[in-house]
Amino acid sequence: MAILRAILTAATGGHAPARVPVAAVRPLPVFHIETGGCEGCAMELAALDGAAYGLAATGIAFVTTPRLAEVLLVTGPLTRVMAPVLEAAWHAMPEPRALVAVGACAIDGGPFSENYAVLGGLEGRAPIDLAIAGCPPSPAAILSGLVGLLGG
Amino acid sequence: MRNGANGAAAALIRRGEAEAGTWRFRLDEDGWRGLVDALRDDPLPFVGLWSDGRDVHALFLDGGAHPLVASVAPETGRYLGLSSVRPAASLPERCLHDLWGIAAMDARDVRPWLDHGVWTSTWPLGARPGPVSWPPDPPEFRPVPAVARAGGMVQGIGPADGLPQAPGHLRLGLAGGGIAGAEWRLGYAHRGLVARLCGMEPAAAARLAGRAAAGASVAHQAALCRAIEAATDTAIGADAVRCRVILAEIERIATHLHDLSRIGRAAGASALAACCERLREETLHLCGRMFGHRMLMDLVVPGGMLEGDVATIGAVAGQVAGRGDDMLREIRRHLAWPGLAGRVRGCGTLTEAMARALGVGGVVGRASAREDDVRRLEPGYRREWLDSGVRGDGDVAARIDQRLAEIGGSCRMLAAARRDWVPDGAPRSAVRERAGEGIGCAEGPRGAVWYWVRVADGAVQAAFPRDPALAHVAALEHVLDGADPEDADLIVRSFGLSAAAADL
Ligand code: SF4
Repeated sequence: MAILRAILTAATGGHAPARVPVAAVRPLPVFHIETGGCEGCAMELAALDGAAYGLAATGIAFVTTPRLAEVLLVTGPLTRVMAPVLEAAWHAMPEPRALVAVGACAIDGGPFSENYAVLGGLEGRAPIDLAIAGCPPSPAAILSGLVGLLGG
Repeated sequence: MRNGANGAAAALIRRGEAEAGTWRFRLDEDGWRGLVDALRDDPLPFVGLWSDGRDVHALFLDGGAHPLVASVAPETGRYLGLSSVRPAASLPERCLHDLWGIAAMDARDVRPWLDHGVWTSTWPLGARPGPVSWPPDPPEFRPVPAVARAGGMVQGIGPADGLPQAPGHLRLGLAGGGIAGAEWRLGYAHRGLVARLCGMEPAAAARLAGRAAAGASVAHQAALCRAIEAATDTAIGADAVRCRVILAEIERIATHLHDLSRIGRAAGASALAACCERLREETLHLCGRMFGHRMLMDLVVPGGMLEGDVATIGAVAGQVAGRGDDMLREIRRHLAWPGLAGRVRGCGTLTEAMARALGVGGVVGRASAREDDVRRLEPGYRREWLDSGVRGDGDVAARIDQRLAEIGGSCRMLAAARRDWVPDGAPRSAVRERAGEGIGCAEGPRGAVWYWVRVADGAVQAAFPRDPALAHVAALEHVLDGADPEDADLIVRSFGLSAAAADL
């Protein structure tokens, strides 16, 4: 996936540091893409976005279009079919933007390493601003990782 | 044994050459053709279709109780397909062709399904993987005549819609205010589970199966372990049997709550969604604290359960069961959300006949009056425990109601499983070093999960997972056709479709 690496690297201007400026009054908009996992990480994100966690109060909000997002949150290993979709979402985002890998799959492929259908994780392919380990990580772990981005 | 057990199709299969126990038989080309003919009039339920690289295998469930596999060697890379007599076999035929390059003759649909043309080879699991042409062919969708006629439009949703779910693409033809033709395009989440399982040691394979589909992790672990245990003639202890039942029922409650919350959100019933989210989190949190695995992964291993405290599992069962009545009372209160009943009643109806034709079982099938529950075949379950029945309406309301009834049923099972249990303290036996073939099943929260395996030299040599999600895909296309576009999301949620589980 040299293409993806080149594009993502160029787009972040040689990998800008993970500082996402947020106006205090506006939540940090996060666009989530599952690129092919077991849905475990996605279900934990759903839990995080649900009533049991007061996500809105933390200053983080999931959005349904990358055009409004400052953070691209990826779960699942990158399948070959999803690579262009991920690229397109990244390109649609305004700058500055951050790339967050949630779960073993998104980081290094986890249980789904490279094969005929899968490229593997984002590590080494794109500059990851934040990696949240686990298979899957708990909503609390995801939240504390994301909140770290808010600090700036 | 109920009727069908001695049906013509099953008898034809049994007339073949027995290759594995009393459940897998090899047919020659004529025998296979005769079987396809017989299936036209025989109701023998179709479950799955796959290859091991050499033969084509079709799994049926004889009399609703006996797995029965028919195998045939393809001639020059082709076999007579089953989809002309079993519409449920259509997507499996397309998967089989994409993965192994073995083509179904007389098939309803021969377009690629999993393969979007960007894999490193075509037919990656076949004897001779082929080269890939570049650029890949654009996907070929079914024409939507109503849209052309009425001047409607086509709307595509996904594969990246920002929602917390596996990627998939739904294409809706919209004409005259309704949906005129619905088609899924999946394969985005295909990770090559079969290829990965081959060569793995049993324990590693079970860990991977726990990541086949997160909403049915226990079901996948248990079904694969049962297949491996059957293949190696490994007996497991009573404690392990009971622990698996308990974990499966906890998983059912958690996934039903997840699906109910997604339904609630899609229906605009936010209080219902919030209530289910909180209840689910309670359960997951408890599991995380007690087992170290919120979603119950890595707990079922070949030979039994992960070493650990059986008493802990019993205690968790007791705690979840103890919340059952309160849980249901809370959810029911929110079902009275204004306007909800009007939205879900009569919406997205799947008739019993269609459910049967398309091979939809599980909670969705039971909401369409199909008595389909493989827990009857699983060790550790008592028939009288399966008391949550079926619903007849087949609509979103019935699917909600069925899930509620099953949450209640699962809680009662957890209480019962705990009540007369005296742990003997040996939750795990060693998997025997034996070569063989086995089949195993588990009723997951969204339907029956099956695994077939061939084991030799302490490793999985060939395997096949069957998840209910693929049947949901076909059924949804049918149900969405003609529905109100406003209801599309709600209907999809009510099935609990998981693209991750459909793609594997
Ligand atoms: S990291 Fe684990 S839980 Fe998350 S998608 Fe991958 S396999 Fe599933």
